[in-house]
Order: sequence, then C-alpha cells, then structure tokens
Amino acid sequence: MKRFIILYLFIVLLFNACSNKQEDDIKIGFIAGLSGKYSSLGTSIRDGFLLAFDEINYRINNQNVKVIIKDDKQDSKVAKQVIESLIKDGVKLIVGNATSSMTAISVPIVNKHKNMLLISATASGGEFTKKDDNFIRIQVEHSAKRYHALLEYIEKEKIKDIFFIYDPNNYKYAKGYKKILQDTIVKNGGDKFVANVPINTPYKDIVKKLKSTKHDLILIVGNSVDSANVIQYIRLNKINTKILASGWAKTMDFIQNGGKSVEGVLFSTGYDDSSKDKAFVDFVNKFKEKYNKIPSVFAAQGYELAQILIQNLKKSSNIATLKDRILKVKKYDGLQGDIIFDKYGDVFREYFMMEVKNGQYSKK
Amino acid sequence: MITVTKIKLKSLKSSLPLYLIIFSVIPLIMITSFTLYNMLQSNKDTVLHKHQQILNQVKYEINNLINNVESSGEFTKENYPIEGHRLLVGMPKVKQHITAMLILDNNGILKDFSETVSSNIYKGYDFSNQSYFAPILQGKDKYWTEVYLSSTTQLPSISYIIRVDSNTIAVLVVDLSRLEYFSEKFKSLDNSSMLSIIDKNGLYVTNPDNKDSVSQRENIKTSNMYKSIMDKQNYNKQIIFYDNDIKYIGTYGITQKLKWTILVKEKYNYIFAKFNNILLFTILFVLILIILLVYFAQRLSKSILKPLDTLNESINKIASGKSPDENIKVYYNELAELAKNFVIMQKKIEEREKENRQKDRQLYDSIKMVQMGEMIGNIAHQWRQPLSVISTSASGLKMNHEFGLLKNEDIPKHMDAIVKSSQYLSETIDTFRDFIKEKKEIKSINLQKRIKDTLNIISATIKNNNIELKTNIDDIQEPIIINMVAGELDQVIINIINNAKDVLVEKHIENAWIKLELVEKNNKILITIEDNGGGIPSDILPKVFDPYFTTKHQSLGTGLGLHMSYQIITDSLHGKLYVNNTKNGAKFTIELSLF
Repeated sequence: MKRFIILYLFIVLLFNACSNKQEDDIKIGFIAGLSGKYSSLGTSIRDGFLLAFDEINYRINNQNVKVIIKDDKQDSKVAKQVIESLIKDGVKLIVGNATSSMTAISVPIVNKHKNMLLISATASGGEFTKKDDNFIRIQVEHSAKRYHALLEYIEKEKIKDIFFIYDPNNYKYAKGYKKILQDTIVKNGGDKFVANVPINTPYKDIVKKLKSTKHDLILIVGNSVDSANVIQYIRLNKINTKILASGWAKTMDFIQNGGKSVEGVLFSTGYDDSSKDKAFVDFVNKFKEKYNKIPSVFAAQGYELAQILIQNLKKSSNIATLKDRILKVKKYDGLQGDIIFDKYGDVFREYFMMEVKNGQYSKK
Repeated sequence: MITVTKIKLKSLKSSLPLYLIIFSVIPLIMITSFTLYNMLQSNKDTVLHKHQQILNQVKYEINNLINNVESSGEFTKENYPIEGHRLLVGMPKVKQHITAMLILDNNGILKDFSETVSSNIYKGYDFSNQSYFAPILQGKDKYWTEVYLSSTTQLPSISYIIRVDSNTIAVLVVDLSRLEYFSEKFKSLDNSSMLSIIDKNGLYVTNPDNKDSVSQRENIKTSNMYKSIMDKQNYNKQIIFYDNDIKYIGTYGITQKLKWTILVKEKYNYIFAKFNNILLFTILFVLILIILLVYFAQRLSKSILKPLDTLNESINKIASGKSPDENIKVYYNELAELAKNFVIMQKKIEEREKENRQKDRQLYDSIKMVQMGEMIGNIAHQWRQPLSVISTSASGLKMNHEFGLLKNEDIPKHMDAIVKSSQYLSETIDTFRDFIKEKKEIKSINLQKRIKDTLNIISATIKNNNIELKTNIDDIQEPIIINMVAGELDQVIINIINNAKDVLVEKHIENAWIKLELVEKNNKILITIEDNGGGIPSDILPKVFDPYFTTKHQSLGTGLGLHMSYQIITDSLHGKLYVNNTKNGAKFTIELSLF
C-alpha cells in the first residue's frame, strides 16, 4: 500500500513538473486600423511597437510578453467587438486605438472595467483631455496651446479663409483641427471655414469648388494616400494655394504618392523626420534593418510607447498599478526629446512646423 | 560441513523484485521506445516528402507567373510604341493578373494609364517619388518592385517596370491575389491552409489561414517563429516550430528571382493525431504492464521469501532454544521440498539433542566417578603415611606391652604420634571436603597459592610413584591475582598431572619428573605442565582433547579427562589449552587472560 502511495505521489509530481509553466505571460492587446485605406497609420504604430518588443525577445524579466493584435478596421462596430473580445480574454493592458474616432469607442468600454489600462500612441482628440480615467496617451491633444507654432504661422501669414477637406471616417480628428484654427482665423479678420469638403468627393468637384472660392490655405485632414492623391489633382489643376496637411498623413506614402506636387505642404508635428537625435537615428536604422523601409512618425510613436511600457513593466507586471506608475515617473526619454505626462495621463511635447522639401520632411 | 562464504551481502528481498523489474521493465520500455521512434521518423519522412513536393509545385507556379509578366513586359516594350493606349487597355483584359498599366516619362510624370479599378489617379500625376521609380533614375531597364498593397483594392500587388524607349517607362501592376487562390488549394487534414508566401522583407504575400496578416502588412521578422526557424536558412529541411503556441511541422524554400519564402506547414498535432493516439495507448499499456509487473514481482518475491522468512525464524528459534512454528505456508514445489527437509532436519536435531543430552548426563556421571576415584586415590595416598604412623605406634605400644617393655613415658609419646596422625587424617578429610564442596563462583584468587594447594593434594600420589614434581611457583615473588572459578582450574591441573603420572608409571620412566611452570607475560598467564614421558605420538596428538579418546587401559581412563579439561579452559575460563611435544615429553599449556 505504502509503495502504491509513493508511486501515486511520484506520478502526480511528474505531471506537475511537466505542466508547471513558468510565470504567466504578460498579455498586451493592440488595437488599430490595420487593414484597408487607413491601415498605414495602424500598421506603422504596430511595426514600431513590435520592434521594441522584438529587441527584448518578447521577454520582460521572467515573463513572456504576448502581444495580441486586433484590427478595428476603422469601423465603430468592429472596434467595439475587438476591445470586448480582448477584455473577455482577460487582457488588462491594451494599446490603442490609432485614431481618435476609434479611441472614443474603446475608452468608455475600458472605463467600465477596473484595473484596466488603455494607452494610445496617436489618438489626439481633445475630448480625452483632463480626465482621470483608464486611458492615457503619448500623443499631444489637439489644443491651441500645443499647436501654437501652427497658430503663429496662421497669424503671421494672416490667413483668414481656409478651405477644409476632411475624411468623414475620422471626423473627430478633423474637427479638432478645425476647432483650434477657428479662433485664430477670426482673430485675423476671417469668419469661418470657407468650405468643408469630404475627401471622398470626386476630385473634379473639389477643384471646381476650390476655383470658385477665395481661400488662403487648404487644410487637408486625411490619410497619406488620399491626401497625396487629392493634392496631386489640385496641383495638376494649377491651384497653388498653400496646403496644410494633418499629422495623420505624414508618412512616406504621402511623399511617394504625392511626388513633386506635395513639395511645400505644411505639417504641424511633434516629430522631426530629419532629426539627428541619436535615439531617433538609432531607431530609424533599426527599423530600416528590420523592415527594409523608412519609419513614419507613427512607427516612432509606437516604439516610444512600447519603451515606456517595457520600462514600467520591468519593475512590476501588475497592470492595476501601471497607470499610476507611468504617471509617477512622469518624464520619459522620447526618440526626440522628452515625453512629459500630466496627472491625467496626457502628454506635453513641443510641436513645430514642417514642410516637404526635396521629397523629404524638413523643419520649417 | 557446509561453510558460508560471504561476498558483499545484499538483501534478497530487495534484489529479487528489483531484478525481476529491471529485466522485464527495461527491455519493455526500450523496445517500445525504439518502435515508436522509428514509427515517428518514418511518419516525419513521409510528411517531409509531401511538403517538399508542394514546395516545388508552388515554386513552379510562382516562376510561371513571373515569367508570364516578364514576357508581357517584353511584349509591351515591342508593341506600345506602335499600339499606344490600345495596348494598355487590351493587356489587362488578356492577362488577368495584370490589373493596371502605367506609362511614365523620364521625370516620373504619368503620361498614360489603364486600370481595372479606379485609384483616383490622373494623367499628369507626379510619381517620381515612388520607390519603384528610383531604379529608373539609377539607369535600370527592367526590374520588379517590392510587394505592396494596392491603394485601391487593398490586395497584395507587385509591379514590373520596363523601359520601353528613351522617354517611356511601362509599369505593369500585377495582382497577387491569384497566388492567394492557388495557395488556398493546399489544405491540411484539418482544412487549414498549408501554405504561406512571404516576400523578402518579411511581409506576407499570401497566407490563406490568416488573410488579415496580408492586409495588415504583418511582418514575420518580428515573430518568434521567424527567429527560431527561418533565420537559420534550413531550406528544404524539416522544421518543427511554434507559432501562437501551436506546434507546426513543415519546410520552406526560397524562390529564385524575387527571393520569396514559401512556407509549407501543418499542425503537428493534427498530422500526428493517429500517432499520438498510438503513443498514448502504448504509454498507457506499458504503464499498466509496468504496474502489473511490479505487482507480480512483489507477489512472487513475497511468496518465495515468506516461507524462507518463516524457515529462518524457525531456525532462529531453534538456535535460541525455543520450539519453532510447525506451520510453514509454501506455494512452490521446491520450497515445499525445502520445508519438508527442514522439518525432517528439525526432528533429527531434536533426536540428536536428546541423545546428546543423555550422553552428556552419562559423561557427567563418568566424570564425577573419575573425580571421585581420583580423590579417593589421593586421599588414600595422603592417608597411607599417617595411617602407617598410627599403625606403627599402636603396634609398637602393643608389642612393648606384650614384651613388658612398655614404659610409662613411652605411652604419651606413642599416643601423641597417633593423635597427631589422626588429626592429620582429619585435616586431610577437611581439605578434600572443602576442595570438592567449593562453590562454583568467581572470586579473586592468588594463583600461586591456589596452585600450591592443588599440588599439595596430589603430591603424595606423585611421590609414591617415585616421580619428582618440579615447580617454579615459589620463585615468583609477586602474587598473581586472577578472577575465576578456582576449582575448575584445580581440576584441570590435577587432570593433566595425573595423566602425566599415568604415562610415566606406565612407561616405567627412570628419574621421572613432572614440571609445572607459571609464567606471566603480556597480561597473560601461561601454566605449562611438562613431563619426560617421551611425548605423544604425532598421529594421536590432534585427537587428545576429543571425548572418549584414551590410550590407557580401560581400568585407568575414561577418555574424558582431557576433553573435560579442554571444555573447562575454553568455555568456562575463556582461555586456551594446547599440547606439544618437547625433547623430554609432552607439554600442556594453559593460557589464561588476566583481564
């Protein structure tokens, strides 16, 4: 009998030894629009984000990091589904979403759950500002204060009439731009936006409208390819008004698809693509080596976000305290200067103007 | 006599089941493992062969597509200058994988185009910044671009660029979804796709199992799967890897021109489901077999060892004088035989013991008789002298009286002699009585004195036989004190001296002597008794201490004296008694330890 008990214990121990995994994985959800027209932003963030984890072989201390990637397809319904499925799978830390519109879907859902954290690399919508919730971001919000370089430019150039072309699928983001500029135009003696045209309007009609209105700036809020295509068409039709494009479009696709037509297009941005900062140059080289392409600012932001997470997860993998710990550290080394969180988890970063010059983004 | 040679003792109880288990379980496990391993290997070989064939077929298909597009490019080069826009419209209709054709000038300006799906491009668009235009600027005439997602269809596409003339460049946009359809046909048993194609940058070209990975531009280079297998360039070899915690088996190769990776894979557990079932069944079977083996080995060893234990216990009981159990349960013929023989042996031992006890009693009686005889002999010798004194005095008195010579003053003289002698006789009786009656208890004794007393008892007998008794006892000044049963040593000394005396008398040795020497050496007492009787013949020397062995005439010896002496010295006094011949005669040595 005694022998059988020993045998039984031995077998039990053996099974335990076999099934005894090390510590649990750290699960990180990642949501962005990864397919379709809007995928350039999402895939850029993802590539940068994964590069950082790839460098540490997806291991933090003794735990494996599992990044669960979901595509919100820039569709409200899908966005709701994917975040709910992640929550159902017990994922406490979610990176996302890429655009403000999609983030607006996820934030209230995440806020319903305790001990969760949603952290976005790029969502800039003003409505997320100054809220002590389960959402933080490393993107600067749309606000006059942070866009002062742009506003200075508007003021200096005495811009009064703006022709607004926007993507209706990310209207929240577009609205942010509009809101900031509104006051300054009024200050300059203008009234309101001379036209609000969705970017999916036939180009012919856009040009017609452009030709029929007086304007001193065209503001385009759309993705890179759409923005580039519409600018090509505008320039092809000899309309040479200054164009301000949104940060959303600021990828290499924009320059590649825009050719010489996008020369001189302005951006208000926190990232200098031609920066010689060592951290940034290193990142660009690593990215190029891995993916054989030049990283966009979004990839850089994805990478920065991953670095902030890694730095904090190294100290503890407890997601419940992660937000407080991230905000407590407050200041992080970004790829271009510091990233500084306020107590609500919004960041401050210096913004400046850039323009396309000789097929490259350069600081104005 | 059976002797037991002990060579590093092991317990039969643990060895027996262990050997049984080792010689049954180990071969069982080895044969099973070997068979299973071979089965697995041959299964793997079959799978590899299948995968390699798929790999080759896909490579062929890709090459076909590439060649097809390249020849379309050549056709465009030859015919566009003549046919113009008609060719652009016609080509996608004939070659369905070509979805768009662009004609650019040297500055990258779109001069003409045709497309099956509108992509919001117009003549005059500047494509000089497109990555695919850069090699033209470097002077290249024809080449393939990287794989990209079409901005209109969102499908993976690739373009073939060919210079038509000095200011005309043709871009043939190829829809790669055709490959996707092709890939989908290779399905594993579980209906999952076996095939994925990855471009040289690590992006999926087709991945029917996870189409999102194509549309989401998922890069395999950041996956653990890539690091663990594809970074090592094990082309065409079998690889086993994990992707999203699922185990796969497969192989991969690289296409020649575009350096695409073709990965053929199947879920390991699915392919080897049957094998896993067999494995599980076999392991379970072997486990049950092992448990049964262990159980039966235990039972077998128990059924063998239990009777042995009982036998052993019985032997122990016999050895310690208790009566053994009579009932021994056995399950095997051989053991039954052993038990039967054991019972017979046990009975025989009992019988012999009874006999021995009887013999011992006889022996004891004989010894008593001998001792009595000897004592009486000694008393007789002791008495002879005083008795003759008494007799002489009495008869002297009588004679003097008869002849009237008796003087009054003579009477007390003679009477005194008689009284003195009578007293001596009485003393002698006391001495002997004390000697015989002495209790068998250990006490501290003075060895010289004790031996001297003993010699006194027999000295008369010795002297009467004209034998000189030599001893060195008086030379030893320091008294030797020893703890022992005194009477026993006396008996032995008397025995040996008597024996010597008998021999000397029998052989009529002249100037006969017996010499007793006492030597203390290294905490040992050596008492030697030597005679000059010529020694013991060498053939009987080893037998002198055996019971009932005697050379004397029946009337003189029982053959028990020396045997008894030997028993007393070795068993009771824990000493040694041995004999050897000297040049004079036999020499007995009693060796006693002082402590």
